Amino acid sequence: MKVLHLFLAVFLVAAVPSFTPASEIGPTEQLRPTIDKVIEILVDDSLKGKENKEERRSRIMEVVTIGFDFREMSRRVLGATWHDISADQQDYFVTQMTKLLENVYIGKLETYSGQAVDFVAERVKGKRAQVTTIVEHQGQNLPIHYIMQREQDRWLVYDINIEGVSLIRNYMEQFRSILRQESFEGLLKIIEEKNQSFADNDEPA
Amino acid sequence: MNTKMVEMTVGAFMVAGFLALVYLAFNLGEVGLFDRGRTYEIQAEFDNVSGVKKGATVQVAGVIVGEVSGIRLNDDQLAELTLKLDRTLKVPTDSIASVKSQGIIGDKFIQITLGGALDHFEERDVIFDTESAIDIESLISKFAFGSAQ
Repeated sequence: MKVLHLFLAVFLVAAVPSFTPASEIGPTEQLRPTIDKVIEILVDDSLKGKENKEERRSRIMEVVTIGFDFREMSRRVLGATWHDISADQQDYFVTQMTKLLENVYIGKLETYSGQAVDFVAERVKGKRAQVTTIVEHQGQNLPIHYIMQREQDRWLVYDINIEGVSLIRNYMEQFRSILRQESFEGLLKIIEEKNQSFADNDEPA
Repeated sequence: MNTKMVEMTVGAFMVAGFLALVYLAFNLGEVGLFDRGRTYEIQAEFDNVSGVKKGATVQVAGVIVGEVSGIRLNDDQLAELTLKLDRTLKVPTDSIASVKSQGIIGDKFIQITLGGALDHFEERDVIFDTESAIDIESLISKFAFGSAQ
């Protein structure tokens, strides 16, 4: 009888930790809270309007950086050049690229007006996953695919594909021709200028 | 003795002629027996490959580097293309394969945008990052009718 108890105890101890390891949380479950929180901020009346822009953006970025891998995005858009630049340059490029995506895409997000976001499909292949959401836009369904990669136990978004067009490839192709003509410093300057122009536009007239 | 020599020579020519014919037939029929060593195949999964035909070209920066050697629906109900590529082309694992068309209504081809990862796709690997065929009609309808509200 004692032996049986011992066996049972060993079995339980061995079995318990495997019940809910973080890696079992699927990509959709990982992404959903991020999207929900962003929507929550976007529809929050106390954060609306131009005067609350900074507060709103920083809150959104706080949420988004948890679910999105901006370093991976930056690495991918830069292609082979990523390996030619120093670690400091990489870090700086990531901050500038993040800023650019924030300016371009969060600006777009701010036109959001309470449409429902449906999670319709999920596809996992090894360390990669694609989560498909449908957003209703002006009476039409717009499919948005989030391409994710597993980093340790978490699924992080590294590309967004809207209507068959990939965000990463879009930038990758544009950057490639800039890199060929103007090298990395030139590209960095262009991104900095672009970010600056966004900042200037925000200045109250 | 002399006639035997002549007959042997004729026979040898016949055999050589047949072999040449077989080689020609294989090559013209694109059986690919002879370019096995020069090419390798990788797969790519797409949501939609409408318009892509077997034999469509695979391009990198507009240069033809291979062809689509197979199209099938895989177990996940996704379109799976087999891309036969030149062995000298190394495809980094963060590359993106897109369905593109030559002009608006031209032939469809596959464009690979090479990434910068240090490891490369090997034979039979599957490209996950893909862009599907853009459905011009549905896009037009989205813009034309979507804004009517």
